[in-house]
Amino acid sequence: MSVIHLNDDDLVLHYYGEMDGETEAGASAHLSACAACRERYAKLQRVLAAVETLPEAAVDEGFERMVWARLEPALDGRKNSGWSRWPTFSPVRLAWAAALVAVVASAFVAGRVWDRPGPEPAAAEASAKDLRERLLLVDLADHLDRSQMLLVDLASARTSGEIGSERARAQDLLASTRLYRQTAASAGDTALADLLDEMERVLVDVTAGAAAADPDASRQRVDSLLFKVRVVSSTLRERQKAAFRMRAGQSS
Amino acid sequence: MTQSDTATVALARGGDSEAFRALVERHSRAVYRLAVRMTGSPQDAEDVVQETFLKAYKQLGRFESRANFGTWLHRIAVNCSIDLIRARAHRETGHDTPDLEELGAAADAGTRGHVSPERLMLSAEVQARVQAAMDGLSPMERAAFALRHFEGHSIDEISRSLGLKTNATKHSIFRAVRKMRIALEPLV
Repeated sequence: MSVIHLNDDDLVLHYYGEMDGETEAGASAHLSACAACRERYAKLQRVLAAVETLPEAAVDEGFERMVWARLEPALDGRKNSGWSRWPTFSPVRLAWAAALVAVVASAFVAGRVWDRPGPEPAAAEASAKDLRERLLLVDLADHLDRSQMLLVDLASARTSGEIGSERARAQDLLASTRLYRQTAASAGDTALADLLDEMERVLVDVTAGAAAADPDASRQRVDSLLFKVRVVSSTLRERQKAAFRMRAGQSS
Repeated sequence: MTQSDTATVALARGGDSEAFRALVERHSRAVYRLAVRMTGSPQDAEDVVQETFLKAYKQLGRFESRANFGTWLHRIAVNCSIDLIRARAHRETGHDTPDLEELGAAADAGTRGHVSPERLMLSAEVQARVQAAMDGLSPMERAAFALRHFEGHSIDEISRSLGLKTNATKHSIFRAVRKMRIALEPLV
């Protein structure tokens, strides 16, 4: 009589203790008697033990504080307000922001709309879509301007140790920064996403009062970020002006 | 003395934001680690943590006070992770995960040479291969395997969490294990 060996799936179920009582007893008895299956089972055990070597995700000190600093601004009125107050996964805001990031990704990072001379896109330029995209771009530029002003105030306030009002402003900017960051990442715009990620972390620290723990390091972060935001903000403004000139030239 | 979750949840349900903060501080690390296992991305996991606590806050009124808050939160985190994984998979339709042959070829290439399995076992190489194999799982395979292997959930529990039939859950786990074997068997 031929022996029925355990197949790979049986071995997996046996490993996880997912066989029912009778099947489990049969599998155990077979493994005791069959060297071939025992060897295959030992290999499976080694593989799954190797999987265990994957380390647990490292969690930064102060992680809980960071989570709370991000959550708190979104909690007011959240119980009954559905998606309206929180940007994460919000279909309406995501669509809006995705449109914005698409503009930024195509127009700002690639720079192909306003930086390079090309065929005359007169019809497209005049379209409502184009107008909407320009307005959205203005909105991002305004957001960066507000962020820049906050960073300037933070840099000067740190010397006097008074950041009460900056903390409230940081809290106001946090949710929108997060929204822009998530959608920039979704659109594959890593440069913008990285900048906004850095901004978000600074805002979280300011909101949570963590910046006071290491004022020197915090000042360096703010100065470095301020420089990057200035560059991006200035580039956006220049491109807006160039777009305006191009439109004016086309309409004259 | 630390308040029990039951007492803290009762306060949070009454609008005490400090009580909710205490729940966040108590459970956010566990939620984050679960989310990293399921999504494979620290940044996505941070988003899952946020969304999990926001949903929990919104749904506190529906939480049964006799239930375990950690278990309830865990279920929300699993669902948020799955939502995010699905959204990400949809975004990345152009990015194919490696198939079994590719995983096997990568593992074979790793064994060419002279490093002993024992040494490899201790090295970051194995971890890198595990990570690569995990990244090669489909969203459902990853979710089912992470819940079974790392979280110790039963297949029945996983089926309920993922909204799958038991057989579909089993097959997700079988496929995940098969991919792990192909990637790692030559090394161990």
